[in-house]
Amino acid sequence: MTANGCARARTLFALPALPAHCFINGRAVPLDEALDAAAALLRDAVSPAVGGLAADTEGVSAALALAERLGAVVDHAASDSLFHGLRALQVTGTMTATFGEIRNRADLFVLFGTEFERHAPRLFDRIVRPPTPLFRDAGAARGFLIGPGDGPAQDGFERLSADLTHAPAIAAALSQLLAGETPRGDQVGGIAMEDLARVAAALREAHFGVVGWIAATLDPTAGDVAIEAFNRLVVTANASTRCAGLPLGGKGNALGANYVCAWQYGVPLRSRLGAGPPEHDPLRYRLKSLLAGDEVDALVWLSALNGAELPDTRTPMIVLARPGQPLPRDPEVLIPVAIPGLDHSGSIHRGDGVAALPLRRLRTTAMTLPSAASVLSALLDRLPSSPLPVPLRETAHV
Amino acid sequence: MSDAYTLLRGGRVCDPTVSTDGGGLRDLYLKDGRIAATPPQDARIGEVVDLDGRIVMAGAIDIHSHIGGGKVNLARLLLPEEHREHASGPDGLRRSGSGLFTPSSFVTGYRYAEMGYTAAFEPAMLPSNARHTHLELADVPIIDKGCYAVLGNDDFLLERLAAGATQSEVNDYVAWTLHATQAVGVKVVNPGGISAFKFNQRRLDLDEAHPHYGITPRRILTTLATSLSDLAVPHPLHIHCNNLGIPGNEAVTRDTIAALDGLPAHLTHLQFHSYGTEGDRRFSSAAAEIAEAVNRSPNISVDVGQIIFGQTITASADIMSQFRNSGLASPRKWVCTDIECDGGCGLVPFRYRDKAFVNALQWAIGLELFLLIEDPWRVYLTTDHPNGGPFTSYPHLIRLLMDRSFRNEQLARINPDVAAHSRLGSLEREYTLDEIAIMTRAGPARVLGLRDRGHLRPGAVADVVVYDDLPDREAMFAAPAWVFKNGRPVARNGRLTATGWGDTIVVRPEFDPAIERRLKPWFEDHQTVRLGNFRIADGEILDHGRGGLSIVPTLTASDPCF
Repeated sequence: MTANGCARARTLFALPALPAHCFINGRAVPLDEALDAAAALLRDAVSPAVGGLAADTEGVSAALALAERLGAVVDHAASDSLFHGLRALQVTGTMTATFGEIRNRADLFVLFGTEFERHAPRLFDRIVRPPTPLFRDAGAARGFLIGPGDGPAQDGFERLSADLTHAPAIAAALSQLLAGETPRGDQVGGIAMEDLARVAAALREAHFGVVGWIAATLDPTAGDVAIEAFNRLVVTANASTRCAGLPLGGKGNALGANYVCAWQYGVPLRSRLGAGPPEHDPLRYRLKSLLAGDEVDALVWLSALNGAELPDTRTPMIVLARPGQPLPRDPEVLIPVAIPGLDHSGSIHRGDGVAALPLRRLRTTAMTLPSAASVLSALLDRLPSSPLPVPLRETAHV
Repeated sequence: MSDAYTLLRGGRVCDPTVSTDGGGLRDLYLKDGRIAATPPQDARIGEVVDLDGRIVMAGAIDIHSHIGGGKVNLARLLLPEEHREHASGPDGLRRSGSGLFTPSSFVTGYRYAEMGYTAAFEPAMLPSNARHTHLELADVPIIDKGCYAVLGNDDFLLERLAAGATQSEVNDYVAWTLHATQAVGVKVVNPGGISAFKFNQRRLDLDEAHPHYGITPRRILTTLATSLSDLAVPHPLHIHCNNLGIPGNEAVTRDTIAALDGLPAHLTHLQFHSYGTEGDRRFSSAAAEIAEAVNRSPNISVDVGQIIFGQTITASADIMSQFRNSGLASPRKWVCTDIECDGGCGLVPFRYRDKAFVNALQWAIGLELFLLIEDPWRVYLTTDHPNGGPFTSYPHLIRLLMDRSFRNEQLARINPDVAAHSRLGSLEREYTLDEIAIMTRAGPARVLGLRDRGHLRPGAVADVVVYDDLPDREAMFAAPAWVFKNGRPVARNGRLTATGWGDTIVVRPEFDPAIERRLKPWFEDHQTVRLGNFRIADGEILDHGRGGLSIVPTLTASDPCF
């Protein structure tokens, strides 16, 4: 492991290796038997779903191909935060910058959220205060933390206490102030107007300001509205200087899973694949709601990476899980799978979307678990289909 | 390997790379994925396809089409309405997918193949986004694909140029980037301008100093063009000029051609860079002036970036231009992103309206360029998909070029002021089939250095398209009678019959690896990934079992150049 590894990655190393056998209702069985049982369960399903999707690019691809064969709904375990941003994108668009750009350039941060250390553990040392930024002095970045909590703020940062359900109003007031208008009242969302005026002035005076947010800490029922307001604020600031939005947080390669779905099917997650054309509906196909309403009769759950806690549901489940995955109950079928980036190579997407990161095999254990992609492909092969296309040729010129 | 030949019997072979004997009927033999010389009498012929005098061309090659990568994928996410409207389910052969101007990956491959296109080149791969781009393209079936790495706004290069780097150091960096990102060419987008926008500059002319580095776009442009020439990379610098879409930008386009001073270069989506400022609306066609400059400059090739009326999205690394144009977004939502001290990404949905003077004139300007640039070997058919319109409109565009009365009928339908402000109606030229074969096959293959594609001589990859010779050229080119990829039939009458995987085409010029000694600390001090994680290994492309890597040889002294 490199010194560069983040805290989240380190926890994976500490996990015990599962025995390489599978379970049917808690009874140990060989992989083939588990796959047969899984296929039988899926063959009879009328409204199946493929969820979790905490996996590398190949694991996600295989899960989506399985969903397409089944006519299943697909969703990621951590998609609520993702969809705040996605729904805002589909209404207003977005103006952002990537981690690498911001760490070298940004001189002002206006951050909405709470528990930054938990949701974005590398934010301050990697992005806000890197040792050798290109276009500003090291440590010169300053900023504001807007959200609940009243602990000490980082050097150069000032905490403005507010309830984040008011984030849209706060961002709207900042947009007005930036545009030279006067918002009504003497405070917004618990923040005094003169404090907001200081934030607006700082955004105006910055060479390159950043408006960041941790989507998971926004109002769960209206996170998209807040992000739309953040985007308007960023666009307003760009009338005279430079400013960029910065979405933070996300786990289990949720963003990557959504990207794979988008490029393969043209639609985001929360879609039904394979039952005719891809059908996307961010409300109707939210897997948590479908499970709560007992609208799924067979669930495939994929958690090869951290970040996909199993749902507490009585729906029959086929679980492909990394070793150490907590299980609320014995699933109908449990197949342990290898951890991408530890047991096999692959790729995942970083939180800012631009960089797909290579994952390498870092350990070799005596008992090697199969990759999620290979398990899912073996499952796909057990399900009825129209004949598969024949490959054109299999030459490589290298 | 098989010892049987496939015989395509009695076609009218249209291969502009060989002198024809009066257009008589010819037989073509395919074997092991290649075009074969006429076999001996006793050779085993497997399948025989009677072409009955139909027209035969090599597979078409799209030299500039935004088909994958971060910005295309964001465009898909931005416009769910497009994907709701144009979607298809799985049918046993095809995977499910959706989209018209930002089609999903599988659909992209199917549609190209059904149209007789067997290769397409993604022209704007940011090095920082290269891995994502290749992951996406690995899911585009059938066709071969390649990428141009975008340079010229990356802080490493700008900083080194400002510090007085030698040409040979820049050459090493360019070659290293081609290797590391698995690219086949280099594109420069608004040289210096994307970076200048990060310093809050809103426009940058060819000889204007960059606000931070003090160097000019001219310097960036000529240094990169020299690099590719020095490195003997077949595809010369692929240039998206400064000031895209701004009335009067024809001056910077002509200055760019002059600045290159004989260096080989490819000017892309020229239509968007051929605007004058005449007339009441201060917007006019400068196609004649630009075409004249191209005609006089044998070192220059171009693609047009024709606009097609209707809804699309403009997707560009040129965030400076895209931010300026964001007010034109239709529907009213857009994306701009500053990326990794590397480049940018701007997405602005747009509807080209035939009754709007500006859009109608853009349409006419593109066609004027096609018709006024004399040498079909140096002008290629593109819509800058999706920026001017989707690649599926190529058959329509071919008809506009081949059929003057059809063209003039269309001209009569659009904003009437355009006919008065454009010489399009008076242009009599109609492209011939040979010229279409050049601009969609042989020309792009030559300018990309694809020695075994774009023609039908023995040894070529057996990418073969057979067309019915229909008077309606749009119908003819929309649904070829047969399409063969690597010698296997993949489409019949415009419908897919088989699928598979094409190659990723790359170029690997020699360079001094000592450049990594300078790059390594740069990555560690300023970037967010390390050098070793930035480089894309061959295995990352090959291990999916989805097509090989095909390496374009660098040029040698005996190669004919422009």
